[in-house]
Amino acid sequence: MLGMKPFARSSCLLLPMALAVAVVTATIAGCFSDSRRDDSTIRITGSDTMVNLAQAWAEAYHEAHPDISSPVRGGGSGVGIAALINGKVDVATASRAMKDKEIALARQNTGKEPKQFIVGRDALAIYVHKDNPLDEITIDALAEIYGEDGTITTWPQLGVDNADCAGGEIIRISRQNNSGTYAYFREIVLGEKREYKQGATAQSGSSELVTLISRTPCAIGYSGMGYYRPGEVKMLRVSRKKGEPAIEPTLETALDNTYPISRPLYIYTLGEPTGAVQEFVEWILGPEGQKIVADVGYVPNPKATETPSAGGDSGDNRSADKGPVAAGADPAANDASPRAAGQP
Amino acid sequence: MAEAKAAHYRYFVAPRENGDRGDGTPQRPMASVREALEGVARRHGGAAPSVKKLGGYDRVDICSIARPNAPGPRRRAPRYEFHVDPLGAADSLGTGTAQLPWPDLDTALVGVTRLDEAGAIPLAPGEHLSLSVREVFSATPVDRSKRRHELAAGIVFGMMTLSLVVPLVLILGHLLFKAWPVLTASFVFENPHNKMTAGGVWAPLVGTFYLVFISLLVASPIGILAGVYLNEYAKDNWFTRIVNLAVVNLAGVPSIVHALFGVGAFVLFAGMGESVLAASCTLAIMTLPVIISSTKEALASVPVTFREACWNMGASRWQTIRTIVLPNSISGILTGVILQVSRAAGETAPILFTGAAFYLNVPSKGLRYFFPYSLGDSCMALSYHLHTMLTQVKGATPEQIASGESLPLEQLQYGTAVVLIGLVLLVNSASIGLRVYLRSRKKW
Amino acid sequence: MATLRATSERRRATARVSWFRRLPELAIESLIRLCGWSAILFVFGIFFFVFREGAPLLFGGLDLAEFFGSTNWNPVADTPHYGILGLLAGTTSVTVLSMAIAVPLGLGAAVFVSEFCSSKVKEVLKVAIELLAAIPSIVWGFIAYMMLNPIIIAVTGAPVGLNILNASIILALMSVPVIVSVGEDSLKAVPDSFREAAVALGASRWEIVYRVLFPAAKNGLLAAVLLGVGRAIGETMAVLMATGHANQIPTSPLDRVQTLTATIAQELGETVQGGDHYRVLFVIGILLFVIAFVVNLTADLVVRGIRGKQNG
Repeated sequence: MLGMKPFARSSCLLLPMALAVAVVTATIAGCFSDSRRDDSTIRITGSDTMVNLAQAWAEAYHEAHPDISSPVRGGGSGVGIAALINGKVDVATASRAMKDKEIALARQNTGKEPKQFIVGRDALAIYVHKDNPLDEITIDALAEIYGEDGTITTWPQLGVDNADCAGGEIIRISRQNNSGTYAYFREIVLGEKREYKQGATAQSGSSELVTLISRTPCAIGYSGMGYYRPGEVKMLRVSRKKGEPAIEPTLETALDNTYPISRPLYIYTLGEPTGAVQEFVEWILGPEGQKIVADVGYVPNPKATETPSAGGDSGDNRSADKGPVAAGADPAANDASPRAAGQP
Repeated sequence: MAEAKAAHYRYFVAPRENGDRGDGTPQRPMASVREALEGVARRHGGAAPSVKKLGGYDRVDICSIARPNAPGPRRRAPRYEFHVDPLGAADSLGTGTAQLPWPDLDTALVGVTRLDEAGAIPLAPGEHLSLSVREVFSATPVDRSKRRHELAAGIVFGMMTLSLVVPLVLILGHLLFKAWPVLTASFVFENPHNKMTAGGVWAPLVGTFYLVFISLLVASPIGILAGVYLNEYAKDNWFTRIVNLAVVNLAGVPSIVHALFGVGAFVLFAGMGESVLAASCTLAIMTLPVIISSTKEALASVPVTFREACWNMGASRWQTIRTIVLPNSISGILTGVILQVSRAAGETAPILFTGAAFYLNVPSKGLRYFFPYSLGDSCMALSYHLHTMLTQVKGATPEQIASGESLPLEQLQYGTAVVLIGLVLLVNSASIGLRVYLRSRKKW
Repeated sequence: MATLRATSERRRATARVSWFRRLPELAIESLIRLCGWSAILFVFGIFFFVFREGAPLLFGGLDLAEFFGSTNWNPVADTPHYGILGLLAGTTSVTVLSMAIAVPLGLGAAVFVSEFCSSKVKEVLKVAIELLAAIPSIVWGFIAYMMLNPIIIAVTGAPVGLNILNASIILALMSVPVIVSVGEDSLKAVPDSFREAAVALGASRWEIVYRVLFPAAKNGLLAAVLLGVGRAIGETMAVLMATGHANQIPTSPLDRVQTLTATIAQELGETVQGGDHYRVLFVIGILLFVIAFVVNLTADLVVRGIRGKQNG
């Protein structure tokens, strides 16, 4: 009887402990249930550029198919591809094509071939403050601004009198160094060999970058044209070389490839998608999914909408039997990405 | 505050030029010493409430000037000096000298007026007569300068403190002002929708609850028991010192290093993946040291005599802890734990790579509205949501805003920030309130 | 007599069940000990796991001379460069300037709270400072980005409002609460007899503060400052948003910089697990852990210094 009473009183303390034990159990359970559990979850991870697109897809798809829920994570193309290689996601979004090394790694890790779908195109717009008098710029000038040992550091060198910018200094806004946008900009603007000049302000997201430019009269930056905010920033017309016509980034110019900095947007699945994932991918490539691409501010892939049945059969002109990075099969993606085009 | 500052009043006297009745200023001087004395009586005799009665070390000067606006007395020392001291002249009316001062102002005024009428105190222009009031137990000039220094020091330090409090008020006010248009109940209880340009913060809010709850579930038993160990069991030796040092260091580890640890230990090594569990465990390790030290403090505040009394009853150490020490300190422990809720809710870095998601579909009704996440999967969280709203979410176009289907991005950002701050401050206030309540009913 | 009999009965009863009854107690006591020691376990665990991810690079090809001596931080280049000199300069500059703001304010506020104000005002101020400490770091980042940025542009004329100054002001406000609370504790720890002696000698409160309290509470105040430094070095999200995040050696407070913590936060998410870039971020993590360890250890030793002296 002496022993019983204190035990009763200690139950208040034992309760949290019991809960803790429950959590540990759940932890172990969680470990086992980590791999893909059921058909009701489609995990999407990857490109920061496409994160809003992926979110919009997930939201709309959930409305149409309430039983499917899709966690969307950003982080960058590299993250999505890495997660795909480790078999941790169902759909990886990427604003660059997978590298050979990564494909080999995925094959080795999972025994499956990553399958590529081009879901749209994005034009990388060059943004400046809305009051900046500059209207157009050449790729070469951009290279001199952003590239290592570049010679252009002030606005007067570009021939404009940027009145709001007191020092005249060009403030370079860039993205974090492992984002797909950063890599693609380097590829197109700086070329394969040249590195970025150190000291650019690296922003973690496209939207943040545009916001910063809208508040900084001296700034220049690059980001997907989907992030354009009228009245706050200005998109420059871009020409390949001096003397060539400068092209405005629009849906049309991105699609017919006259705008020099435009790129395909990819999603990857591990092997041929099946079940819910297959339906989801078909839906993305179908009219509804492609309408969302346009709504978010990117260019729908006309090829994709032509063959809404997608999946196994239509996928072949994008990837399947021609190797996973045979983006060349898609005319729209033809020479937009030298890396992809350079693949055998 | 008679000792705060000795007042010094000046009345100017000059030959009258016109019929104007002066008020004693250099511009409008009074006509004669007598008139000035009447003015003094009127102002300081107690009639006017706005002017304080003359007190210790106050002084009234009557300065003679040649004409209005002429410069004041050239010499510092007065031509005539009279003294008032309530305690200095106990049994006589006094003569106004320092040795035999007048007992009060009225007597002094009468005395000076009489001298003036007798022509005993002629004042040439530039000379002045002064009437000083002295008081026993009033501040000496040295003391006054000391007080001045003290006041200056108080003001300086006060300003420093104010410069911390003012930004807090400004920030909170600004955030609230900017977020006001979106701050409705639906903002809190709706999920983000329409490409995250509309709706509210329910999904991230629930995610934060998940993370906080699970991390506390993990951290508080360990933390409380560790606190019990350190306060009740640990001997005063080198080993205990190392444990204490470990707690201090654990508290000082940067949050981003906790994130790296979470990636290395929970996400990869334990195989949890990027999940609610991994993020919660990372947060738990981060909040642990503060729970330990606040538990230790709460236990230490229970008097040793309580324990001794219990031991004398034959109770073992654990029985003492269970029946005496913990019940008497449980509320103090609770305060520390609650405080950690706010820290865990606000942290972003540790969950950045361990389990926060950009977006998740959360059903807007049913049980899954309240429990949308599974432990093995990632979740949205309020702090991370604010981060994505700032860096990644594109925002609505003006047309969408005009049509009413979306909200401006900036309002959503401010709204999210305010909900996060509101949550954290609410929890903090609860903790503070609990502490105040406890202190009021402490039994020892 | 009755009570005596009862006691002896009880004692006998206790003796009978003693080892069995003590079993749960032994179990719980060992659990308590285990939890107590867990703090050490976790510190080593943190070091171990961060080290485990970073070690392959640290001992396998990281050029330490370049790591500490170069400002070229370009982990994604064709020939990657891992020079953190610029990041170190960023962390240092932000920490130093923020402490230049926070230390006088924090210690001043500590003195005011502990010596100058009435107990009611004290309660209010302590609550306000606690609330200041409660604001999450991401919200501070938000404030830096949305509020302070335009203010700094307007006041200083800097081209970008996200710079060392911005980050330092934010960090100062973030680290002030810890300076105030530890500083106030150490002032409170000065025995009242010191103050009374000084008052008896005719010292003003101002003189008491800087002639008596500051020397007496020297160590505690130093510890307060060190803890503030630790907080400033380790802060991540606010700094990521406030510094402008540009890798360069700063020459003025209006320059943009990149800090160690922010670099990890921004880049880790996109690196491939097991890659060199991924590992080098963990190496930076080890560095941060070591810095934090040294700062906290010093603070702890300093605090112990006063305690030892007071006891002895």
